Amino acid sequence: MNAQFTNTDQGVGVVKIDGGLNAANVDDFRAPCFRWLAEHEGMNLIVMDLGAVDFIDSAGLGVLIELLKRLSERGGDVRLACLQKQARIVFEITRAYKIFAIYDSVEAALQIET
Amino acid sequence: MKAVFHTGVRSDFGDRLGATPWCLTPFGGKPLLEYWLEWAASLGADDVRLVLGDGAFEVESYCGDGSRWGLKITYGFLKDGVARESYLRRISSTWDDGLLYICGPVFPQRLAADAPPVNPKALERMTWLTQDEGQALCLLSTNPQDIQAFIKGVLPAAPGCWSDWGLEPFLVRNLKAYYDVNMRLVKGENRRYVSQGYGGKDGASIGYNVQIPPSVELIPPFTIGNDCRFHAIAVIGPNAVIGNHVIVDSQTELSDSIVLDGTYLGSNLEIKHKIVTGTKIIAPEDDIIVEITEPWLLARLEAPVRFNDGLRLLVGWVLAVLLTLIQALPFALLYPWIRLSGGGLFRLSPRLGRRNRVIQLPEWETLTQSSLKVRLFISLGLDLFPLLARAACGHLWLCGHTPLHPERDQALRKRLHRYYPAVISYPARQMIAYKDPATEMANALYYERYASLREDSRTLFRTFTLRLLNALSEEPASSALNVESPR
Repeated sequence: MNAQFTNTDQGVGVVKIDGGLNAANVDDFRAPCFRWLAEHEGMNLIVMDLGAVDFIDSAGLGVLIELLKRLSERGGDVRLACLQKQARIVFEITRAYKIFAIYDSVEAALQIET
Repeated sequence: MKAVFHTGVRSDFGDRLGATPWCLTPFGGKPLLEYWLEWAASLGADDVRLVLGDGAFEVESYCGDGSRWGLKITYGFLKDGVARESYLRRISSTWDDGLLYICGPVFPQRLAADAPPVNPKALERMTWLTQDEGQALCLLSTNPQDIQAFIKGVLPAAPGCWSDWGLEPFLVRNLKAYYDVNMRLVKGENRRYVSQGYGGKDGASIGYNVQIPPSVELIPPFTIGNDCRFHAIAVIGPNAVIGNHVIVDSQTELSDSIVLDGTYLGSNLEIKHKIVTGTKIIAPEDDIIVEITEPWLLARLEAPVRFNDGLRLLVGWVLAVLLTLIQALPFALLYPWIRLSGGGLFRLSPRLGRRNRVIQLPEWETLTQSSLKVRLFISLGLDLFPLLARAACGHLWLCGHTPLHPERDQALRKRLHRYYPAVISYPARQMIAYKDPATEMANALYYERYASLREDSRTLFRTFTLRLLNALSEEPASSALNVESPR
């Protein structure tokens, strides 16, 4: 698993994850992600680019929910983009799609919702 | 052309029917979603977006990538509480080359089997169907300005006409509407939705891997799904819509009804003008839902007291006495002759008589089939003489069930609510002894269900007529007659 963190001046961060997000590597993602979040206090929207994520398990879903909770506490949001089939099925079965805003592309997720 | 279908919105009829997502609820044996996808395919849509909600996994499992319909399906989501149109706003320019949009339980009713050539005027104006609050439930347009206006929340003032597209979509508001559209489909409208060559002229449609054991009566029109099993004595149709993986047990009558996927119908039920899903029986007219945990406790097919039994017993006894008197002399002449020449004999066998008493009944056994005197003996029904004498004494009915063995036929006896041990039964009528337990059971249950003076008269008449006709023919009795059904 490889994660890239980028942020814009408009208080928007984009996280691109490559590979699976599961119990084996979720700690490798959690620690740098929350450190990055702490360093950018003004950032209140994170777009997770999951186009290269081929597998998510409950631990992976757990860290995404934890991230959403942190952002919600500061009035922000987490948007998921480019969900692939394997990861999408996890969201369907757990009904996590009800709490996350899920977009077809990163560009669509970066748009301000009206 | 692109299509966007929202499957995650709530629907009244879907909530009441049970756990299946409403967009997968069958209409005339086919899920509603499939009608939408076929509609999109007929419009030449190359890209279909399914916005999922409750039942997302089932919907995606059913549709897959859409290649079954020649479509490319992609899946999207909307958070709870977000306006449905916001999905279109995210990538608003994508829809400019045409949009088919459905956001609710809308049935795209076709006006005819063949899609008419699209009226060019239809392409100029957006056509839509709205709910009471003015929210667009179904919308079709190839006009980019109209589509962009709709995305911004404005519906053009002058809508087009659905009939230009050969359709009349309507909202399935409640269970009654759902029931009505299914009945219309099974009565003939479903021919508008199947390709040429797939529709039966009599309106009977049966899926694959459907088992139908003997004595099940199928009365078209009906639609039966895949992997279904019907037990003995069930009467299916007319106007029955049965889904996939449905089991129908014995003595069930099913007409003007819808049975949804995975339902088991227990015995002794009479279902008319109902929707059955799982353990729920729904009366769509009254919107009443009844949970049935023990289906055999409900709606017995017949009253527990049968008044015609007394009449049958009396008429049968009079006829038995008459037949005994008629047969007495021929029997006294022929039987000793046959017995001495080794043509056949009677053997005593324990059987359950009336009131479940164990009695010893003489059973005829033919030893020389080709003997003329034996054939004459059987054709005159003299092999029944000792049994007729028992009937004259009141130990047996004249027509009814084959007397059961007290031990060997225990299972069958338990299945029968009413047992009429008799001289003449269906196997006796056909002069063959059924060895197949399923057929024996089917015959027994059939007689129990249809026992009447008329049925007895028919059985009696045919038994003696066939015996006489058989005496004139060259063929042995059993081979000539064993293809006939009990009815």
